[in-house]
Amino acid sequence: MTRSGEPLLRVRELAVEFSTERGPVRAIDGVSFDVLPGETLGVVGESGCGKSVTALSILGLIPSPPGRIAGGSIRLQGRELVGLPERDYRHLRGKEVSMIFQEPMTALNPVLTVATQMTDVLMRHQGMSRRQARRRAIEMLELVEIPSPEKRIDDYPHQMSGGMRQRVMIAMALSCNPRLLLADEPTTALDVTTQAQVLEEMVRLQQKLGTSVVLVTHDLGVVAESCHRAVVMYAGRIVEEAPVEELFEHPRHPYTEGLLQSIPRIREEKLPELPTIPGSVPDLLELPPGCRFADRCYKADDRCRQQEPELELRCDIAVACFHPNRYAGCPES
Amino acid sequence: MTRDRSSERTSLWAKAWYKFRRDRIGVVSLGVVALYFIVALGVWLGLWGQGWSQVDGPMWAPPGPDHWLGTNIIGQDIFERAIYSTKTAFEVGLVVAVLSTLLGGFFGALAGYFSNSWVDELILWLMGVLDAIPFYLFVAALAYALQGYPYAMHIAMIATFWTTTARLVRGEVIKLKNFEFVEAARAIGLPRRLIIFRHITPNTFHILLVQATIVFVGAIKSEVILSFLGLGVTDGVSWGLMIAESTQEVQAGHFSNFITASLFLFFLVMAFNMFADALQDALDPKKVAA
Amino acid sequence: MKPLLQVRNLRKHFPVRGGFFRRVTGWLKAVDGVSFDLPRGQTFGLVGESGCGKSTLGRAILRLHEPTGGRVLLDGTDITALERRALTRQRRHMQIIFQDPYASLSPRRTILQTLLEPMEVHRLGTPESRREKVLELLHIVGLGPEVLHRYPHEFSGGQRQRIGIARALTLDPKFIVADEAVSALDVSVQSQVLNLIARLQRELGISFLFISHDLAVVQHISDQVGVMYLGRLVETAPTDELYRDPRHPYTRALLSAIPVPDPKWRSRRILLQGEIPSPLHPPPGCPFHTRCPEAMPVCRREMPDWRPIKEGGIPHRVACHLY
Repeated sequence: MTRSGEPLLRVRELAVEFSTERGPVRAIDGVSFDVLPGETLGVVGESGCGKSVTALSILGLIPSPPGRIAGGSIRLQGRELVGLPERDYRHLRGKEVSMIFQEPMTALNPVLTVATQMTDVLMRHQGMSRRQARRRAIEMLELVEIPSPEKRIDDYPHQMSGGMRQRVMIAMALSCNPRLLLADEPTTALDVTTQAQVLEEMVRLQQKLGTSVVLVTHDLGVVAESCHRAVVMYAGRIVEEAPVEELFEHPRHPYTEGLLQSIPRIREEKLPELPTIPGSVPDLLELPPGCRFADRCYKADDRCRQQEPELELRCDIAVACFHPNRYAGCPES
Repeated sequence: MTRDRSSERTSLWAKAWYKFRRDRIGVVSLGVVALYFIVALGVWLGLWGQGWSQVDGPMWAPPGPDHWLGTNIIGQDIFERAIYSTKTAFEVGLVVAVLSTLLGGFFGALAGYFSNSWVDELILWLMGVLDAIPFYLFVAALAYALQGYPYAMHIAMIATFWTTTARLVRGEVIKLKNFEFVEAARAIGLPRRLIIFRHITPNTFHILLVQATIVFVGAIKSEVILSFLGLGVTDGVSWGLMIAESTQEVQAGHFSNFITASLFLFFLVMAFNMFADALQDALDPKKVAA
Repeated sequence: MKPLLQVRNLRKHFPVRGGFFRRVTGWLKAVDGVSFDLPRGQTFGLVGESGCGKSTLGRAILRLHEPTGGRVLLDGTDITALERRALTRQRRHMQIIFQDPYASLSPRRTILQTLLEPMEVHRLGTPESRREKVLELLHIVGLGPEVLHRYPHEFSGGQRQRIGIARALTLDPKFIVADEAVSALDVSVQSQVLNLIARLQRELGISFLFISHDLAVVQHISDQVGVMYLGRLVETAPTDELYRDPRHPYTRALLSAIPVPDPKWRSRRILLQGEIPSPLHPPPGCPFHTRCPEAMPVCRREMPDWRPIKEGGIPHRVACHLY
């Protein structure tokens, strides 16, 4: 089973570099993946793994300086985005690609009403009149199930609760029918019960509108609930990419495996000790010569410590490991 | 993005110094300030500038080998006087900056830690009263009240300048006291005195330092104006006094005294302001602590 | 044996000021009548969503927030009745571990200074024995002596949290409040720190009040669990029983809302309507009735009392009109 069709987004060998006091550092290095139309791709990893940098670079939002795209390509429907002038990017953002951030309170302007913020986007990108834009904005709020949207639209962000604000963000992001939605930790700041509501909302809208979604998160639970495929990142690199069912059922990379085991989950029987991954993430400035995970890996041998494994694709699953876990069903090598 | 996980043993000060060194304007301005400081120190140690009060030339001598920048209306050497005035400026600047910063830091920390209590109300009220009095009126009144006391001007400046520092520190302390490390100190059972002065105030040092440099410049500028008005330096000489005495000379077409004093003042104030800016950037905790 | 910690009808109300002269215009009832027992050497897991008052409860027990009413007994001592100096002495028996590893260590003090300070304040031991104790504690939390002269900003979140735990241990407390102690950490580090806390509890016999919004984390570490909603406990039970047989509709909704890291589990949940009401204006009757899928007319009128589900040992109790 391989995925067919032209990808909407094609990222190849992307590298982003930041200059720091202690020299240049590659926040991501050689990241490649595809997003098909209508697909939700999860990008998971722990803090500092480069998942947010990946999302920001797609939107051309890497703060420069100190950051810059050091190499690779990002193609949206065949159009190269790396090196695109800021003016062209502004046409793209909100219209073809939009983004939802973690903290809706800071992403929304506190001194403007929701109506103003939503209609501005529609008027600029869709050339609507103020009245048309307002009607469309109310429709969008209705779509994300905000009660009495014709009233709430004139609220200021601080008059809404956290979950409501995140719904407004989603409504805003989707109002121009973008082809691609980037969501950076969209539910992390919310409570569990609210998080569940917002996640359901996102999945429902994604199916209804056919938008492709790149969902950046540290929470594997969120990925399991809402994504078709997932990319696991570690220290600036992709270590594994697979369909979600496969990833959770048959993790190939030892890091994915360790990550899955160490999530606290509700269990039938309490374990005496939670499984952990020993050690901590390496300093990106002092990376080991071989595999970046080797120091913490129970399978690591001399080869892992000397040579960096490449991401290899087999049966729709890509793994960057010399000793991946093997499962029946896919002929290995 | 990536969190610096440096394994070097660097204090926050060392990091700030590293940042400051890369700021070229900051380093140059620090050099200028240091040069002035050496001049002032030399005067204080009696190495130069001692002939400021001697009348050893003709009136309004032009610049020349005997008198580098000429002489003033009664034949005193202008260069000597300008050099000596540097010491006066540093004296006023340092005394006022140090004392008003200490005062502002202390009361600001108290008001901030006990915000919304009577301590805070009292300090705020005091600051409000002091801020409401027009500065020059206040100095004039003090100078009059402390007739003949040479430090009347200093006291007046300290009494007015500490309030800005105190307000800034108060705001920062109110922010800091809700940090968990302050709660941790309370949970340990640390006395309030130690919580305030060991755990909270060290985190306002960057504000105090920048504020001290700003007060320093403010004090020097105020001294010039006050001396010009006859409310400032009463013994010795200062750039303000030089400018004051130059009013008759300018009318007669002799600008040397006026220009010398103004340029000495201008370069010091400029350098200090640029130094303060660079310092502020280097000490910004948002940029340093990351 | 008497429980180590007894909390009785504890309340913490914050005045809300507004209008001219900042008059008190209302009260925010962050904690409103909470009672529970914590046996020696056990862990009480306290769960609830943000704004439910769980952090305030932890701080009110330690009197970091002055309680408005109710009593807290630690090993027979009434903490709420102590005057200042006596409270300071009692502080060595009760400590706290904080959520934010980036804010909980004094930024301009070295690790050694931070860890020595509690013992110096309480005049415990000699300078040599204090230093030894610091090294021993660092070893317990998995850090070496090379960290002593470094500053907090040189460490990662997980390492800072270990230092915070070591600081809480310096005074050999009987009771520790862990307020969201692992929430800010990455998964792989989170489980390391959780194991560390569980080990400390086992080996040192310390009792913990473990506050978290994460039901999965709480299950792993607790002997009993209390669920909090709008300033009140709505259900308490032994851990196994709460997860096997949750009774309160809110507990059930919370349990089903957790994203399960297993794609085959998708959408088997009770979705709650709306969000938590503002604690400034709590609804009348049962505070949960505005979102409860099983609300009855009586819920809108009357605050439910505790109903025992099972007594004996650690009781299972629920505050709901259904039972």
